[in-house]
Amino acid sequence: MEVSQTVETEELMTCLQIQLYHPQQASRALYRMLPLETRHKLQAEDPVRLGRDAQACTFVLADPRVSRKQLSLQAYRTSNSPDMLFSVQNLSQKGRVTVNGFELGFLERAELPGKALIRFGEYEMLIRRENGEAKGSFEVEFGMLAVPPSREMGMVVPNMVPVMDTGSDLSTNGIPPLMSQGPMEMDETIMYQSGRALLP
Amino acid sequence: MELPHTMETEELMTYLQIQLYHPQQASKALYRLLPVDARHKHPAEDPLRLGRDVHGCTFALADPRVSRKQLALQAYHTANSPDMLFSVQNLSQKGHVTVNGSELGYLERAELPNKALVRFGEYELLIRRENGEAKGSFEVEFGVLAVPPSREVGVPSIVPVMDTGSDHSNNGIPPLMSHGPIEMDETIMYQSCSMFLS
Repeated sequence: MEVSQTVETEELMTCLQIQLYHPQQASRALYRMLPLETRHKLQAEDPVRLGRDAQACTFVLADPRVSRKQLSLQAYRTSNSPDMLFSVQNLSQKGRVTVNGFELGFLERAELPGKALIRFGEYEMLIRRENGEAKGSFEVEFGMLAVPPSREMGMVVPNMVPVMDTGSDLSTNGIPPLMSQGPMEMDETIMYQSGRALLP
Repeated sequence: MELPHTMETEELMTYLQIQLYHPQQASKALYRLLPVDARHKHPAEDPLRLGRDVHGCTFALADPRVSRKQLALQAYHTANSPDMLFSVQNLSQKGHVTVNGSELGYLERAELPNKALVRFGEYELLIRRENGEAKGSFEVEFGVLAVPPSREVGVPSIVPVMDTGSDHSNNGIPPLMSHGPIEMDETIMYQSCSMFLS
């Protein structure tokens, strides 16, 4: 009787769900090089790079205004947690990347909370992480949002706190969690339903 | 008058000196794929990967016992320091990587102090960093040590590993320390020490 060689694929993988929004996404094929709505398996030790440069990046945005290498997501572990964690790093010398309102300069990085809103240029990326057991790989799935997540989530910009990349600290130290500003207007039913789709 | 477009290359780059030791380095061509004793310019946003796999790594060790992807050095900045800092991450599911005596499990990472002894398998890497101003790239240079650096300098006791990117003190990773004065009659060892204890 053969024992399965691929135990890895039977274990649940950590999944990063990345939902994108750009104000011109309906008129320009910005996401044409992204594998939308499909789960894509990646090796945990490889950084996930997003940018304009197809040779240098894992995932490519078809937009000349995006930096060649815009940002990377890197999986890592700490000795005091079984979870696969991720950090986001700004790879671009021009323009900023913000994570839940905090600015990252060139090469600065921050721990990615379980739910995070990343912004660069006019792009908004809502990233949710679902934990899994698999050790050597994880999954990424891209989707598109009809409305900007920043509007739904009511992005509160907190006092400036230094960005800390504290890999050993399980809390999202320095990066505030996403918060809503309060109940949404009931007559904006479309927005409300979209909000419900986003909030777990 | 033309202004140079390559301002980057005129600025001093942060420099990583990586000196290697392996007990069988004299009899096996372990370093034949490495650019030994030559400065190599590397984009700061790209991880510097070391391992057996020529395609998956920036630099390869010609040794079947090294993991395909063994470890990565990644440059990063923090908001409160102008220096280019580096973290080291263990990319291998088998075996550990230690940094100044602290163990890193698979995918664990730690801030690299400006002088660090990184070990995996029977390899020892003495890594020194010299700061520079250039923002977009850094230099790396490999060298070979005749004696194991672990023998020359004392490796301190185990301290928990912390990856505190914003703190540019060597938080959690102890600095390299000597045990004390070296015997004066071991002149060869003493001279080796003075070469890399600057």
